[in-house]
Amino acid sequence: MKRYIKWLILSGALFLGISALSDKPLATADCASENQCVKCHTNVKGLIRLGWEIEKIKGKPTASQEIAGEG
Amino acid sequence: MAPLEPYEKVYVSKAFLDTEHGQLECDACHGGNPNDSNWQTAHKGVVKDPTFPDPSDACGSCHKEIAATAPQSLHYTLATFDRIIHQRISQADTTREKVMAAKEKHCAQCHASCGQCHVSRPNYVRGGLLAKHIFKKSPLMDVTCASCHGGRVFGEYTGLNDKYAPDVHFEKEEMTCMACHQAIEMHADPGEVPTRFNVPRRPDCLRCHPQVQAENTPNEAHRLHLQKLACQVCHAQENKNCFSCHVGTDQKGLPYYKCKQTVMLLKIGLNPLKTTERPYDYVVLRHSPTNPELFDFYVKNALSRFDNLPTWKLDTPHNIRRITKQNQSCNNCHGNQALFLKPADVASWELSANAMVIVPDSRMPKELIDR
Repeated sequence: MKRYIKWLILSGALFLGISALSDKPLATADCASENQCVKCHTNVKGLIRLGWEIEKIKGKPTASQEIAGEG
Repeated sequence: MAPLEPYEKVYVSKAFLDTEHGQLECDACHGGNPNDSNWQTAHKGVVKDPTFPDPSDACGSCHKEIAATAPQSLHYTLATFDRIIHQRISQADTTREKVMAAKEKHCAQCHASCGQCHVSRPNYVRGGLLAKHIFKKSPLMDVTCASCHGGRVFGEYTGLNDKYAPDVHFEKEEMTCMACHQAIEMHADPGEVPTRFNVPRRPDCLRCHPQVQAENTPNEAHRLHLQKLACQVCHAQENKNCFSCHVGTDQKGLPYYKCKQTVMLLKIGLNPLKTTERPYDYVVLRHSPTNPELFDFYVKNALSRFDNLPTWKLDTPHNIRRITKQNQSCNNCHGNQALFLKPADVASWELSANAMVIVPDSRMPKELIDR
């Protein structure tokens, strides 16, 4: 148990040390390096949900009901 | 063609990221902010189609020659629409302005760009990525070409019109549009051509069938008719003819068209566009949906010089067969009045416009008694 606590304290200290050397917190730096376009546009579930969200705001695109005959 | 679901339009496959185009940063072509996790602010300044109207930045750095001429191609400019409208339109400036605004609203959505052929569906069918952003060197016939040419050509070619067989090139060889309409034609700057039939490097049957024009060809029909008839006169089936189209804007501000009648017909007429490459006396015609009241919703009597061009236009139906009704025997065509465009086939208001294509009795091929 003592060894486990010691290891935890050492890891925490290491993390804080590296964070202090970096100009940004580690979590933020990691997020910024990720391309948000790729992250979002390769996520089908996310895009489906976003599609619903946009549809609520913009509505479904429609064509005129008066169109008649072959175009 | 049914539009894609919203998510399908913008879903990018991870496989795209491994392609050459996938190595580029998204914002290099589309703009926006790739570091912003809020989709609304991240999309500020995003360009959906970075290849229209000018593809020189998005495509030109690698495809310099194509990007230099493609923006002048008819797929980009639809320039012949303007030229044809201008031949019929009233000379009054206010009328011109109103008609050209209506043309933008109703016709300009049909243009295509590098992106709308090789990456996404055309805007006309509300876009959406073709293959999850993977670039298609050859556009997909049944999606890309059919999006805009689906009303007539695609159906003719693939046999979607009831009772009519598909084109033999599709049925037997599974040739796609690109087998005949090659990149050199699609990407070229055609110059100030009056119609799409004057675009250089258009498909030519003789390129693949040179034996047809050989002096010693054993085919008597080819020997006798080669310079007189367009190939389609003998080898096309009925084509789709539309009559009396009107355009307008509904109460919600949405554009609409109303086309009164669509009929499958085969009408042979005099060649209105003779050139050295197209010296034929007789060609297949197609009735275009135009009429003098086409733009009446926007401005009355806009097409005051309507008779300047025929409403029965030169056509090259895309439903070729080796054996057709008209080529089974000489007299299926010779003396067959019903096959030729006669004054009785034409409404009184369009008689004058079609004078140059109507076949007078003096030019009707006579029935051959000994056949």
